[in-house]
Parts: sequence; C-alpha cells; structure tokens
Amino acid sequence: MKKVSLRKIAALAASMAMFAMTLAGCGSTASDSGASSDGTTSAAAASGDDTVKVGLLHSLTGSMAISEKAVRDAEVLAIDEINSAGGVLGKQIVYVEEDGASEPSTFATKAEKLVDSEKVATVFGCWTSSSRKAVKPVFEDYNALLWYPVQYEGMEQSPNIVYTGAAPNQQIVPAIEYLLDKGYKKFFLLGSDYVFPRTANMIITAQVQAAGGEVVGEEYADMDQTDFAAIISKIEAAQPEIIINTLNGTGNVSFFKQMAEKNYTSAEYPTMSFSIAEEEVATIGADILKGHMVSWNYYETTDTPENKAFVEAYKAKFGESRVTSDPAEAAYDAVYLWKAACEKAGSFDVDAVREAIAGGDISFNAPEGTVTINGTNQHLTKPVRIGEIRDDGLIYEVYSTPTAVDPDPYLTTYDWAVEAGIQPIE
Amino acid sequence: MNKLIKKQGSNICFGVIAVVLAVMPLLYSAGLMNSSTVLFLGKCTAFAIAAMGIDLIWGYTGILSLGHGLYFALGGYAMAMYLKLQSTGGKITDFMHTGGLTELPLAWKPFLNLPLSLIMVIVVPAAVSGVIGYFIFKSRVKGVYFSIISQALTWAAYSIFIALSPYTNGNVGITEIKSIFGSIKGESNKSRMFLLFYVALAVMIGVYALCKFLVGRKFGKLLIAIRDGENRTYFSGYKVSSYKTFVYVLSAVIAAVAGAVFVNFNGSITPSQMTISYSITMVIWVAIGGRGTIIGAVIGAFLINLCEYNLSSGAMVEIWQYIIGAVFCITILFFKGGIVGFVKDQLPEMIASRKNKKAKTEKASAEKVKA
Repeated sequence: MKKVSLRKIAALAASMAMFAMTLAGCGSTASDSGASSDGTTSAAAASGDDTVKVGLLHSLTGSMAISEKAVRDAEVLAIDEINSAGGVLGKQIVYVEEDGASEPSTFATKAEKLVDSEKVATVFGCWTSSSRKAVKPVFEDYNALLWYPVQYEGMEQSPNIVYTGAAPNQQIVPAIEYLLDKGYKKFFLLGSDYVFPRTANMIITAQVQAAGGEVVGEEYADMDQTDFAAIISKIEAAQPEIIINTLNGTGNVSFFKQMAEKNYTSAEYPTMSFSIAEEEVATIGADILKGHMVSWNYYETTDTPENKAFVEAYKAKFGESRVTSDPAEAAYDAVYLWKAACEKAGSFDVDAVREAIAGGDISFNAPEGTVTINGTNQHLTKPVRIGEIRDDGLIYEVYSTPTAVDPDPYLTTYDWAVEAGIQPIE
Repeated sequence: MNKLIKKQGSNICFGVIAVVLAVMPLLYSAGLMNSSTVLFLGKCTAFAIAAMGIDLIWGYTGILSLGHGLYFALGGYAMAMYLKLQSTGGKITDFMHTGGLTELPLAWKPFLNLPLSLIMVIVVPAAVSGVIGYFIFKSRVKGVYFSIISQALTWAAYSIFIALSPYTNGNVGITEIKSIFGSIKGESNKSRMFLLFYVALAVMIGVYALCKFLVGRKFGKLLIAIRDGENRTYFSGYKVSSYKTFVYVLSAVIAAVAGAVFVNFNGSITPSQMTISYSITMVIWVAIGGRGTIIGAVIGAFLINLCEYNLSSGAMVEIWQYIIGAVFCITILFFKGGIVGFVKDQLPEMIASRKNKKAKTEKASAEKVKA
C-alpha cells in the first residue's frame, strides 16, 4: 500500500513539474510581449540595453539534426567571435534557439515565434528546401530577414532572404562544364526524390544536351531508400562515363557501400556529387569514396589564412574530430555578413539592413575567399571549387574558377538554360 | 453543485477552454499577446478537432488507427490547392511548370472554385476512408492488424504524394498560400486573422457538439459496446461492420476538416503531415488527454502542443523530446485514463481513501481513549 502511494506521489510530482514548466514557458513569452508589443520587430530588438537578439532556427531533433547541428555550431562560433571582438554596433549578440524538428510546418510556426514573439533582429536558419519554402512567407509577411546557409536549387529570390550558399550556377553548372571540358560525354543522373535533385537534373540535362553530350539515364531513389541493387543494374546497363549524384543523407551511404560491394571504384564509375561534404565522407568512409569528385565553394583544406583560423577555432570549440564543411562555412559567413550590413546601415532595422545590402558592396573575407552579397538577388558572389576525395577523408581542390562567380539563381545569363525554358513562370 | 460538475464537468471544461480561446484575440488587440501566439493557438484548434475524431474511433470504438495523418493531409491538400490556385489566378503553379505540365491537371480543376473545394475537403477523405473501411471491417480485420494496415496505407499515400511531384510538389508540399480570407499576418490584416480564428473556434465547438451529441445517445453506447465486446454486439443483432465503417469515415472527415483549418493558419501543407509518426503524435494527444471522453482529446491536443511550442527552444532545445516522451510514459504507466481520467476517477478515489483512513484512525484513537 505504502509503495503504491509513493509511486503515485512521485508520478504526480513529475507531471506537476512538467505542467509548471509549460506554464513558465507560456508566462515568459506573454511577459516578453507585453513589454515590446508596440514597437516594430527590429526597433524592439535593438532597443534592449547592450544586446541585440538574433534567432537560430535549425532542426536539433529529427532526421536533419545531424546535418543542421554543424551549421548551428558554425553560427554560434561566429556569434561568440563577434561578441568577444566587441559585438555589432557596440551591442553583444544574444541568440535565441528554436528547434524546427525536421518538420516544415514546425519551421513555419517557430519562424513566426522568433520574428513576432521574440522580436529578433534577424534569423539564421533552415537547411532543407522544404523548410525554407515553408518559412519564406512568414519572413515576407512580417518583413523580417532570414539568412539561409545551404546550397540549393535556385529559382527563388525573396527580398527577405539572403542566400549564402551556392546558387545552381555556382555549383552545378561549373561542375558540369568541368566534366564536359574533361571529355565526359555520357552522363547518368542519380538523385533522391525531392526538389533539389529534380531541379538540378533538369538544369544538367539542358546543359549536357546543349554541349552535345548525352544523358543515358535518370533515376530517383526514395529519401530513405537503402536498397540500390535495381539502380546499380540500370547504371551497369547504361554504361555511363560519369554519374552525377544528388542523393541526400543516408541514400549516399547505401549507394556507395553497395557499389563498393560490387568492387566498383571511382575508376570504373566516377561520380560527381553535390551533397557530399566532409561530414558525409566521414560517415561513408574515405576508403570507399576516394577518387570521387564533388563540387562546392569551400573545403576544409581550402588554402586561405582565414580558413586556417576558422578550422582551428571550430575544432578548438567543438572537438578535434569535427570537420568543417561548405554549409557550415556559409553559415559562419552569414553571421559576419549580417554584421557588416548592420554596420553599414548603422542600425538593426530590417529595412535599413536590406537597403545596405541592396548597395551591393557588403562583403566579408570568408574562409572560402572574399564573398560579396549581390545587391539585386541577395545571393553571394563566391568562388567555385571542384574537389577530389582522398584517403585521409578530406577533399582536395583539383580545379577552381579563375574568379569568383556571380550568382544567377534563374540562370538567365546562360543561353542553353534560356532556350530550354528553365525559368519559373510568373 | 457537486452533482452538476460530475454530470456536466466536461462541457463546463470545454466551455472554459472555448472562452479562454475567444478572449485571446482581444488580449492581442490590447497588446498583451503576440499575433504569433494567437496564430499558434489557431493551429492547436485544428489539432484539437483532429484529436476529437480520433477519440471517437479509438476512445469510444476501440479501433486504433495509426493513419489519420493521411486524412488530415488530404483535407489540408484540398484546401491548400484551392488557396494556391487563388494566388496564381487559376493558372498552373510553379511546381507544375517545373514538373513539365503545361496546363492544370484535371484532378486539380475542381479546386478553382471555393464551394466545390470545400465539398472536396469532405468528399475525398470520406470516399477514401469509406472504401478502405468497408473492405477492412467487412472482413473483420481488427485490433493490431487494423493498426498495421492503417500505417501501411498512410505510408503508401505518402510515397504516392512524393512520387507525383509535378502534381503535389513532392516533399516540399504546397507552400506560400494565404488564408481563405486573404493574408492574416501583420498588424494591418488583424481583422482577417480574428475572423479566421473565430471561424476555427466555431468549427471546433461544432465538432465538439457533434461528437457529444453522437456519444450521448444510443449510438455512443453501441460504440462502447463494440469496444468492450464486439462479438456480443454481433450476437445482439447489430451490424458491427457498418457502425465501424461509419465511425471510421466520420473521424476521417473530422481529421480532414482539421487539416483544412490548419492550412489556413500554417500557410503550407507538406507530406510530413501525412507520415506515420505524425499520425501517432495525434493518438498521443488523445492518450494523454484521456481517451473516450472527447474533452480529453481537446485538452491533450492543446497541452501537448503548447508544451512542445514552449519547451523546444532556448535551454531545452535539444532535450525537449525526452521530456515529452517522459510525460507520455508516466501517463501510460500511472494514469491510464489520461489527464481527464486522473481528475475524474483517480483523484476522487485518492481523496476518498485518505478520508477513510483518517476516519479509521480517528475511530481507532477514539476507541483507545474509551478503553
């Protein structure tokens, strides 16, 4: 009898504590709002004492957490560095974290919470295109600013988003150009079934055909597909000279392991991947991936003084075993670019910051080299690098564009793209 | 007084919830509340509607469906497609263009028109669930087998929606849509947001009233009879499979209505609302609130979502799922009837036993004194 009632009391106490925590959460948001409900987003954010509040919106739980944590960490690193160097406009940056839980609707809800309830000056966040598409109207409706740090499929240009990752013409197009120059003619397109691979392959098909090459196959795998036997036999039948791989996440692990089981190396079936960075190489294994090619704007091995400092600081803060990657670096740049834009604007106000960005001269000496925000489409002008994976699990540059490439999210400056009609409708 | 609470407790509780919700927009007007919080409560209202449907089928009829996310999403997609076509002015959408379509597919044509779209919100899930329910319940599939089938169907539908990306925009879903009354975000659109919020609230009250009406009469008793003794109900001369199919269709339609309401607040619908895990989340709301009570579903949906909303940020941003998980485990282990069951049954029992004990010890001590 005694035992039962003790258990009951313990359970009751535990559930009471949970409930109290929830109430506390409600209470704190309500009191926040009372204080600053009359000001605009950014004015309220800046009106605090010596701090300016920014939001970090990434998936810290769920299937995307493993990727997005690296990006979040890079943002935290940049914020800490800026704070110890005196902050932005004399104010220390305070960050509010929200978990998107790998679920686009949660991203939308949380974005709204950040810009409206928390009154943050800006938000750094998202990874997947679906989460970006879900939050885009929120940022537009509230006239807030999002910094999106991941390469993506382009065909988008929101005045309320700054895209610090590569547009297609800064990753995909130069990589295909490189392959065409090297004499590859028969392309096999393999991707996960979602918007980035589908759009990327549409672009690649147009580009390859315009150059007289041939797409000998196009296959899509489910996001969590683990059996690639059917796709591998299609590849064997098609005999491509190069496989263009836009698989994402766990698909890569299964695909390359199953290729390795058949003793196919990069010599028989070379691949060019757009979603494999240092983190993924560590998961899949360098022995399997060595010799395969990737295309990014940045590698951990990129040889600039800024990168040396960045890699050192990242490893010192988060552990020697951690690797830096292109998205992490783009996220790191985003924080510094926001700082530069605020300093030029002389304020944290979103309209003032956007006006400063529209000037087209906000730049940062990033680990990848100097990046500049394009004033019209709010993407970055950045260098493009083709890399090769080596035994040590790192990616080494084999080619880079002679100058930084201007962003062209709609590919309007490429004749073959215009001819193929790769333009979204109005 | 006590009797009134016992008899009308759940209605009173629901009334309190409804009034509190109704006050929220006023608090926002007075500057005491954020618009994002009001919009979030609007989404919770949609979740509560879906939860009531699940309570009907699981709590009352004892059929554990782990696939109601499918119907939630069907309603959501139907509503979202209408709203998307409104914003494109009836032309094809950008994702259809990217997918290589040149004109609006026939399947989406009905969604050019509001009344027709609203009918589709109900008809499509009703038809799907009707066909599925008819065959499953006729062949007397029940218990865990039904749960597995409902999961498989949801998974299949999810895969189809991903695969048909020129028609459904794959895993991005239908995004960048305004509500049925136009834009609801920002200070200038406040009146529209209030209108939408009160419409959602009215729908929730309507669904609650419908559920209460149904379970309050013989029909409700029959559902409980099916839950507690299906064979006996058969032997009593009732065609159990028809009742089951009806409840399945009804709860599917309620879930679809919830999905349609949700889309208006959320501004997008994605296939992640169609996943098995999302469907299970909905069942968890009901389990924690208290199954077989209707009001428990409402309480559970609001409480869990508010918990998630407030816990999944700041210091607990990485561990909040463990907390929610712990709450669920505690509920299942110690409070089988959920929150409502605890308040209604376990708490009075505890008080009564304490009173008894006290009386006993008093009696004993009194006897001692006598002796």
